[in-house]
Amino acid sequence: MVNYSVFDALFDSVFIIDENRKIIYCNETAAHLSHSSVKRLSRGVIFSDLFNMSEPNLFPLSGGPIGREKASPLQEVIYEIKDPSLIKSTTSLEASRPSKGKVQITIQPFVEGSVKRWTVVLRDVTLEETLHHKYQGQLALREKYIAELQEAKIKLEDYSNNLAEKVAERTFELQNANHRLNAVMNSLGQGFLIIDKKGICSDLYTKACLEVLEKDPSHKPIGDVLNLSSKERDQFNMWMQAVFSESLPFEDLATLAPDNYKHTRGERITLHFFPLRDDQKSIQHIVLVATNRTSEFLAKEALSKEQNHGAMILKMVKYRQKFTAFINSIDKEITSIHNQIKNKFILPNEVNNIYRYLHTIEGEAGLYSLEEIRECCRQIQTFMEPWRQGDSRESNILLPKVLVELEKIKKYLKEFRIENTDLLNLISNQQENSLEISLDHVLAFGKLLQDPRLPLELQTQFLTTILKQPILPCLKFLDDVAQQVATTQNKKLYPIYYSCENVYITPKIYDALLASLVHAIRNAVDHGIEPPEVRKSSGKEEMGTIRINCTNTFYEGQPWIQIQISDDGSGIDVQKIRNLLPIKFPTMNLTSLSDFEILQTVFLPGFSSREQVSQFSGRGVGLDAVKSEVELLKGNIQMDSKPNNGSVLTINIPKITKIENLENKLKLMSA
Amino acid sequence: MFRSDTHILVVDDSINIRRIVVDHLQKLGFSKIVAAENTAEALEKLKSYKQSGSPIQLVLSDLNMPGPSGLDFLKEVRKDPQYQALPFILITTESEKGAVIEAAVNGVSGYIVKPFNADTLTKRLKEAYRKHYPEGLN
Repeated sequence: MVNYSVFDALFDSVFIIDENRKIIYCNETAAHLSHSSVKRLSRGVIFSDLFNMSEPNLFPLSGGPIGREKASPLQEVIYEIKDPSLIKSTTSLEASRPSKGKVQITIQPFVEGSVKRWTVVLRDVTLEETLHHKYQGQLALREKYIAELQEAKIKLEDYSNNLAEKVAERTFELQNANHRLNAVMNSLGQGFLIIDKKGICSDLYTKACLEVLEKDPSHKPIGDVLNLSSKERDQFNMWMQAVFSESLPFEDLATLAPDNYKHTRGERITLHFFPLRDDQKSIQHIVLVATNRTSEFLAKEALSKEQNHGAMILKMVKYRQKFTAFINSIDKEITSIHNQIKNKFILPNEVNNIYRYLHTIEGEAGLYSLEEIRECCRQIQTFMEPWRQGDSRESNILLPKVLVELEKIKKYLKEFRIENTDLLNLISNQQENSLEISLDHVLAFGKLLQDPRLPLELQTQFLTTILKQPILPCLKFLDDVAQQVATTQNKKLYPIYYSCENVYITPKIYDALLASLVHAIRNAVDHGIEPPEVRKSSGKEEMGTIRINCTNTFYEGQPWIQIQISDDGSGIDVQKIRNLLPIKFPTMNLTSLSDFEILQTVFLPGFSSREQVSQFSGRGVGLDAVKSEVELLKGNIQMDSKPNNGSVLTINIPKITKIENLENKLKLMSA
Repeated sequence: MFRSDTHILVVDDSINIRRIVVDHLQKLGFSKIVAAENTAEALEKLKSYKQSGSPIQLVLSDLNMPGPSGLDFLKEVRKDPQYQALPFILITTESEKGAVIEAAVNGVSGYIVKPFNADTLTKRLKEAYRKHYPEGLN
């Protein structure tokens, strides 16, 4: 008998079967697999009774000849215990044995002596299978994880790229905002900088600092930026200390900081400070805003100057007689003092007189707000002070200085006269020893002179010496009118040249006529005076001239007045009128009219050679108004003109010689 | 917010100013007001009232005085640890910026510019109180 005990210790299940499939031998493992014991199995159990194989035709296990001559190759089959009731589990271990599984089976024939035997080896690969499945499962899971991670990685990369883009976008937006803020602040012309706790300015500042503070403030101590003296610096440092420690509320400290920067070119720069707080509301930085307020300042100064000027004018008018006397007298006095000093002819008591005189002048000049003159007087007094006390040692040095100041006074006086000619004329029209009486009183008195018992001479005298005013002031307003029209039309015009001395008129009577002359002047500028380029090209001066001449004339033994308004403009185009007249006045017979007569048609109501109505003329109302006023006064009017030489409007009006006529006229006017 | 029996010390060399300030304070309802003409007198009063058990609770001092100024007075007062929290208001003029800044770093509780009106004074008093007695005076 072969010793099959070599198979005993094998972990694979080994059965030895005979030709009847009876188990001759099996090992422990085989018994375990079969849920049985070696003893029981060796008592003649048929192998094919033990298991159901998934591959029944491996070799004819049940029935039929075993008949395999060669070893079968290893094959995997699934086995199942045929009769679980055979199993008697006595231990829990035995109970846990699986009744189904996968085995690798191989059958090997051999001959023992003279009998045929077969070795059946079963390798349990169930566990392998299970583990394999498990590992496969885990592998699949791992693969899944890897796939997910890769996906996540892609998403992250995407996100970071996106983030980089977003950051770039935001940075761009921020830079834009920064630029805009900068532009705004620069446009406001404000210097803006930030000071840290050490008093150093940051590198964030507006370009305006370069102009307003005249330097680049970045990284510089604020004391340098503001050009502070060492004392001012100490004070500013203390101020910063107070601000950062908030020993007092910022708004109370703000007023203690320097409020302006001394610009080297005299610009007015105001300084404002603001706190910058962090999240905990404590002050970390101070913001400085420097603003150029020069134009405001200059405007304020100009305004103040104007107001002073206004006040001065009021005073001059209020005290006009006194003022005129003052202006006239100091001119003379200053000149004489000047001569005295220049020639060094000064006696001691004269020094005193001069001094006192200048003191008086100083006071009076102050009254009329003539500050510059006042200042000069003060200076002269300062210079002359020691001299006045009797100490004439320095007189050689002081004399020239005094002369300089006197020159200045004369210069200011001259400038003053020029700047204020109109005003001075106005207020000095009041002649010396003049009286102001209301016109009504004068007229009332005049009425009394109509008493037939009184000689006619009285009336005439009254009218010629008392009830009269010079004509010039009544015509002065025409200059303003002319300049206004000229300016609007970009034409250049000299001031009106008046020649009206010795012509007097009775007040009120001629008011309407003189007022209507505004139309004549407007016409003259609008139609008559050409634009500067045209004038230049025709060889004339660019600036036009208008003259107003008034003369006393006689007519039929009676005194008359002639007023002539002439211009050096283009003149009236007679042919143009000839062409227009039939359209405007179709019923007129024109053929027999001379050039002169054609010219006089300008006085026709509704006449205008202007195609369009301008702001000033062309409505056809104007010269006819003048004519009607002239005729009301029983005078006459005519127009003369030479092409390119200008036009002359001549008005002749009778003077009032009888009060009766005056009264009638006044009644007519008020009707 | 402030009790009418707050003990106030007013320091100014000009009797007129003292009168005006005291007047303002009385109109605001304060009744316990004492005055001093100069720093020395003020320091003495501070000491004696403290000893007598009714200490000064607020100081209103002019800045510009002959002898030691209001600023010197402030520095003296703040030297004493007991007076670190004493409300101290300086009365100044427009031109004394430098001294006011120095006072600010030396612990002044507030300053008021002459001429002032009752509203400004009230505002400053409130500020000084808030700073030193945030929970109110007891």
